Amino acid sequence: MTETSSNLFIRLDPQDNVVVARTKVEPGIFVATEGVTTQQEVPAGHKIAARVLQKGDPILKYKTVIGYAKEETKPGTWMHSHNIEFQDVIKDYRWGEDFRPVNLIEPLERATFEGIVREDGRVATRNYIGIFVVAHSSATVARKIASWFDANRLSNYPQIDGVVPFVHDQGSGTERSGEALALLHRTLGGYIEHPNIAASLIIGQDIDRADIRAFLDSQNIVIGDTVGALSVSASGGTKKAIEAGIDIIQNMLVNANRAQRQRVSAEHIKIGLQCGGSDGFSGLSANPALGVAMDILVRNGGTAVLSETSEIYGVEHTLTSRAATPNIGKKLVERINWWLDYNKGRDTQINGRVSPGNNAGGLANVLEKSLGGAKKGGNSPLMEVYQYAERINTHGLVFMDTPGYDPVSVTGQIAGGANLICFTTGRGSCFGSVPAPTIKLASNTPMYRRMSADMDINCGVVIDGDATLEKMGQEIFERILQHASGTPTCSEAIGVGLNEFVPWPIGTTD
Amino acid sequence: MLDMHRYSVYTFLIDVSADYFYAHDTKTKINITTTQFNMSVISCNSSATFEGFVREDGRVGTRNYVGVFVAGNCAATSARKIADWFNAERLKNYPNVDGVVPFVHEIGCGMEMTGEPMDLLRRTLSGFIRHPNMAAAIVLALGCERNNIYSFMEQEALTTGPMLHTLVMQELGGTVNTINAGIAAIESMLPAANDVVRQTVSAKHLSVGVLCAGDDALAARAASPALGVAIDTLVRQGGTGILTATSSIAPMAQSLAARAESSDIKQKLEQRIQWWDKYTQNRDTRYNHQKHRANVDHAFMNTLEQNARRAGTTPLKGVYEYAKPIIDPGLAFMDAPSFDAVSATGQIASGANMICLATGSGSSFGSLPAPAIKLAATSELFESMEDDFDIDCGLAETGMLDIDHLGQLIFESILDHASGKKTKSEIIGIGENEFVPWPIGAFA
Repeated sequence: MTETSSNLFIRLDPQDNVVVARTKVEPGIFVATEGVTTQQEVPAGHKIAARVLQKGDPILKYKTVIGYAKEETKPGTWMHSHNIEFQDVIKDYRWGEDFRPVNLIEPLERATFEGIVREDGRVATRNYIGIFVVAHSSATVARKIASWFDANRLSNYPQIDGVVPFVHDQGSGTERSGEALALLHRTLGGYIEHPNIAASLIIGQDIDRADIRAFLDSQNIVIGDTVGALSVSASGGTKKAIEAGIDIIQNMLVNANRAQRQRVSAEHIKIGLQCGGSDGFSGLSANPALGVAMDILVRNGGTAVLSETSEIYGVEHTLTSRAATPNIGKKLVERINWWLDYNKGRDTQINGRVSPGNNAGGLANVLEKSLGGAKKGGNSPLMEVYQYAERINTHGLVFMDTPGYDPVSVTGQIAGGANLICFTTGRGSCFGSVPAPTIKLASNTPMYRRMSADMDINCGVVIDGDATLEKMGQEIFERILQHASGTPTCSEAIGVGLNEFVPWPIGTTD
Repeated sequence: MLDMHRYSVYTFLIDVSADYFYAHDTKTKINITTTQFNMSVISCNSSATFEGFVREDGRVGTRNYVGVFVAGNCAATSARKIADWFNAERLKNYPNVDGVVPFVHEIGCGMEMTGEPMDLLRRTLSGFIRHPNMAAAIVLALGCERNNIYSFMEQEALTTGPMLHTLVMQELGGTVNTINAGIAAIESMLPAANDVVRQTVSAKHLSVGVLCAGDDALAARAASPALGVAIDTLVRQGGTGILTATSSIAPMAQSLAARAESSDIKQKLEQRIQWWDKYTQNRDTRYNHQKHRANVDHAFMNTLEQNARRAGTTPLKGVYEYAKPIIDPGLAFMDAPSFDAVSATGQIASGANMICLATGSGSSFGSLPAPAIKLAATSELFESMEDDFDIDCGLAETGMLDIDHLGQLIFESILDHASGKKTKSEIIGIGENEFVPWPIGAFA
């Protein structure tokens, strides 16, 4: 038996009956602080039993039930999906009973950043021209118009961050009415109205523009100086439409280039919160540190948008109890019930089984994933619950119902008005988003080093013992202000984000 | 001219129309002596041929591409950047390689990990990777997708080798490293990919996916029936035609089923229609709309029937689920949505090496690695979008050609394009965005 430092395992709460390995731990290692010996090899981020577990005992991590012991288990046993049973847990929703209003910082004392103030007062963090398609059939036209405007052709317009195609697979095979079409329309509308979009071009195929008009009418968007429309058929085909589109955009450049940054309050920052490729560390470093940053943002009057409904499943009672009204809490539970019904009988994560990467990273099931995931929202009261892509007009911590799938979730958040995305990851992510940029936060130092060109912030220092969550959270907040002011994020520097616009395909495809 | 005897009249008219759509940009310079239409291929008795790439396993390609695939959307940007690197300048030493193409899609994660939605995605990807038009491929993954790349390779019995590499971004250390590794992998594949020559092969190696919106009244007049004549000719030559778009076939399923070669095939068709009844239940879909309208509107039903003729009149040799490999030559029905990109993706995954799309309205469609030939239903449409359309089916309405001869011209055109002649959509550069595996499942 080898005796070694207590540093190998992290205890998250005195009541927990599992502890988390900081690094890979060999079998037969004595863990002094817990008084147990590892029974098997334990991968980094995975858990061991800290005491004897009887069959059916609740497994407690962060003092929260993440499942039940499948069998009688010796202390020091590696605890994972093979011996943790996934079951419904009983939740006490405490509708709004723990609500405490936010202690807002005085307006003049709030943090500031360099933003672009639009005529109507909305504040942008970037300045793009967007090319949109009402249906997939115009995707090539949109991409070819956008790729015409390369760095060289935009060199005289330094205030424009780019001309970007927002193409998608829907519209042609989508249901002709109902939620599927409404969702697509409000997603496109949300992008066109996004403060980071200086001007837009909307492309359709119909010779009479009926397809474009149906979309514009649904969103009350009017064609004008900053919104152009283009029919491929009326232009005389693909090639001529591309040429016509280039002309339209060319005429928008001078005005779009007039955008200037000025110092504004951090209350204009709306952060879409994401996690992807989570591991056992995500819930210990990146997510809670981001939560600290969101609490600071909310005190400064800003907005934090928590989403990924299936990834808060199991800990929703921690949100309903601090909802501003019981009704807001109930809206959240309604959405979760919708998801349980929608996913009935399917092999999706809300039914327990998380992605292979999550599982390899030490997350036994969706409850454990949610426990870590929800921490990125911080501890502010829940002010509102929104539908996918619905415009967000409340400040503070809000929830938007989206799938857990990152590109779809972020697309909904940006359509809702998010002007920055903060994305935590344990396994490593290569995500990027436009027109609201993504800041990526690593949960552990080895992955941060391995993927340093993709990772903006290393929260692994919390695991390494080199920073507290409070210090890390403050640092994240400072970085948010910098990136909101125009400093490129890693994904912007690499040029990632043009393929991550994915409106939620909620309906059937015919 | 009116004095010419019948055969000469046809020869002349075919010459003119051949010029008309093969040399659209010089159509004012039509010269009856320049293009001699090859009557021999029209004959059912002789065997038609084209110039194709014969692969090691005997399958025949019509194009020669290198593909960049993704297990999930997380690798899409890297895939596009790798493919973009190989521009015309960097491929100039590899003239036999038609291009390096990104086949990216919106799914692969946030979906059901097992079951039909994942199986469908996997067989679509592997159908493209194995496609005879694909000389080599790389497959990218972030690493933590629900569509795990290693279990994908195993399930589809794909083995990595000199012409098939996998790259995992979390293992390689991120976006930039992956892009560099992907470029290097493809560079190593290009000499062998380029080492191909076309040779004369039987038209039986052609598998043509046919597309047309079922309710397209203009296409129903001449384009669909003429395309059907071409497919009948192809089938007689031992080739394959693939009919899709279940929503427009369902209302006339009985007449298609009557052509089924066996009761098994008939039953399979009925099963697919039952599946659609459930899939689209209470939804405002094309399927429900067309089913309802066909019941009450005789003219509409007639349009659907005419457009179903796009696949010809031969016996139904098989009914396939989306993206499943076509086993028996002849006419096959594959269950797929009417959405052209999703339909063509399924047809190509099943082995189609040419696509024919007939339409009475504008279309910016194109497909890769199997190119799309586009048929304009009317001369007015053909003229208004002449950069997009390959064939003017309006010729059959002017009295210049009958449906049968238009069909033979289409068949001839399929052979020409299969032999390497670029289609209009290839010239414009359409097809990279039209790879859309059917998103059939629930997102999570």
